[in-house]
Amino acid sequence: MRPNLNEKMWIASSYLILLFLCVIFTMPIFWLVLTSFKDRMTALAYPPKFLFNPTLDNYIEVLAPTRMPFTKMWVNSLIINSMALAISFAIGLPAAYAFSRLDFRGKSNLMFYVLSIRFAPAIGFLIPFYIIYRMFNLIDTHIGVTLIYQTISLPLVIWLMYGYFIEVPKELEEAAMVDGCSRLKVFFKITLPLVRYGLAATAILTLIFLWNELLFAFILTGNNAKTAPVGVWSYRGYTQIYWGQMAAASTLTMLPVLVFGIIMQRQLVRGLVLGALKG
Amino acid sequence: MGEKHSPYFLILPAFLTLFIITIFPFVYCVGLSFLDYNLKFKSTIFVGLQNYVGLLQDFRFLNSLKNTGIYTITAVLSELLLGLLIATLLNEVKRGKNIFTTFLTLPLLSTPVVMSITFKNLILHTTAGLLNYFLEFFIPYPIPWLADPNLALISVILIDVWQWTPFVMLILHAGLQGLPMEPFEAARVDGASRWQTFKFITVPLLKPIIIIALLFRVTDCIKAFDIIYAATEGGPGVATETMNLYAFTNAFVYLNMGYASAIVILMFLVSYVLSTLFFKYASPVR
Repeated sequence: MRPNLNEKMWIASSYLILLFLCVIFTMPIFWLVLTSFKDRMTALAYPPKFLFNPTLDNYIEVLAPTRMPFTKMWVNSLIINSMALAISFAIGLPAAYAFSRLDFRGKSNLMFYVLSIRFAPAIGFLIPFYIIYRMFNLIDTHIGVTLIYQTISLPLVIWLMYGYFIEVPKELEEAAMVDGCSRLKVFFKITLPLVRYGLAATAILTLIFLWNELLFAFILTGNNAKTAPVGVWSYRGYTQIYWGQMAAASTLTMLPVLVFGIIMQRQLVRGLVLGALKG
Repeated sequence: MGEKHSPYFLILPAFLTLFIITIFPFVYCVGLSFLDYNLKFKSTIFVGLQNYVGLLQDFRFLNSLKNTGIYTITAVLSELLLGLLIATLLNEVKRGKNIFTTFLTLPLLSTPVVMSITFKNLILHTTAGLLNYFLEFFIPYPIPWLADPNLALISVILIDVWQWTPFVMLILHAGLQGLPMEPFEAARVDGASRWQTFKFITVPLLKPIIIIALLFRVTDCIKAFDIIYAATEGGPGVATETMNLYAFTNAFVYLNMGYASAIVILMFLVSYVLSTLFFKYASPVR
């Protein structure tokens, strides 16, 4: 029975190590969320308090239309990211479809170019955008951020949807075209419904990446179009005293991404490596 | 609209947009890098290669280059080793695997700037941080994680490892699940130990996937901004200032766009090499 016992020991220690790592990796998030329910004195207490009377005051303060309109920033994030996503889908889908179905000169080079944008330094796009936006009064506008966000979302949509389109058997489309359907009709009636799950996955993955973005929004927005992550950053002046409020704003900022990320867990890998791997 | 021309109609809107928002800024940066162009002093003087020559003599740039190197190598190696360990462990357990994966994925999903601020104020804070509270039992004095110039870079790397190890873990785990069963069965029949199987079968088979993870992590470490800026803003002094942060400071604090662009062009060159490697070894195009 020796090998069997050995096997059991191995499995047991695997569980133990994983459990330990889970605690380590979730602790900072757990601690942040916990802090968001502490009153001011408890949040500042040392040694740290794990047990306390939870309060919603921080959330009420953060959501109230007072000094820092955090709700506005959250809505800004929603508006900017949704617009960016809509534009990326409108112009990225046809391109992804063309890449997956049609052969043309320069296709491989163009695909490499789209991919290389993911690797390029974002600040290289930001500097010219900043100078030009200053000239045309586009600083601190929703449309300005939406446009530069295309450098993130458009390559992602093209590459991910390419991966989903290529999984649809060509024969299905060809059969329909033999029956007299135009390619346009085939695309809308047959291909799109077949990749509906891919569309949803691409949309959510792209939103996750956009939602967490800081650099562009940090430089290109002010009081009008500030996004939620930049909003949390602007709490730093108050953090010495108002840790609870900072924690509440932080939790609210991360919430949508955490929820959608967990739902999309199986598709996540694909999004992370531009479809180079399937989860 | 014939089949022959239609591909170009389909890709035109996307590529017109992409050219305007990426190729044009790139060319703009190349141009700026030959200028002494300062938005504060409103100066525009053609200086040729002077910005690039200046970089070689700039202590702060060389320091940022060194920091970028240390940051990238240390963070990526730690993340690869830890990610490989977790992916392997996840492959061992049957029950509860999804729960473990969900919890271990959370750092990856959380907003980098938010978590970096959290680390700075709630976890790594010298007098009020959770980490020093736990370490109190082992070390009698509090450790100034982010405040000590000698420790700051390691502490920032720690945040990066916390956030991005799950990225490597997810990729390698997906890779492990895609491996063929036969070599592992053959190894078991031959009586190979776990370590032998791991070393001579798992790792070699996983190599292409490891390269994908490596390329993405190296790229993102070189570009890292959120974590470092929110935790230290490059300080104390210039202890955690990477190339990206130095370019950022030049561009948006000193408004020295020409000099910043010269740094950015160097970063573009590195990113071009990395994306070429990715396209060659790990391309999704088959």
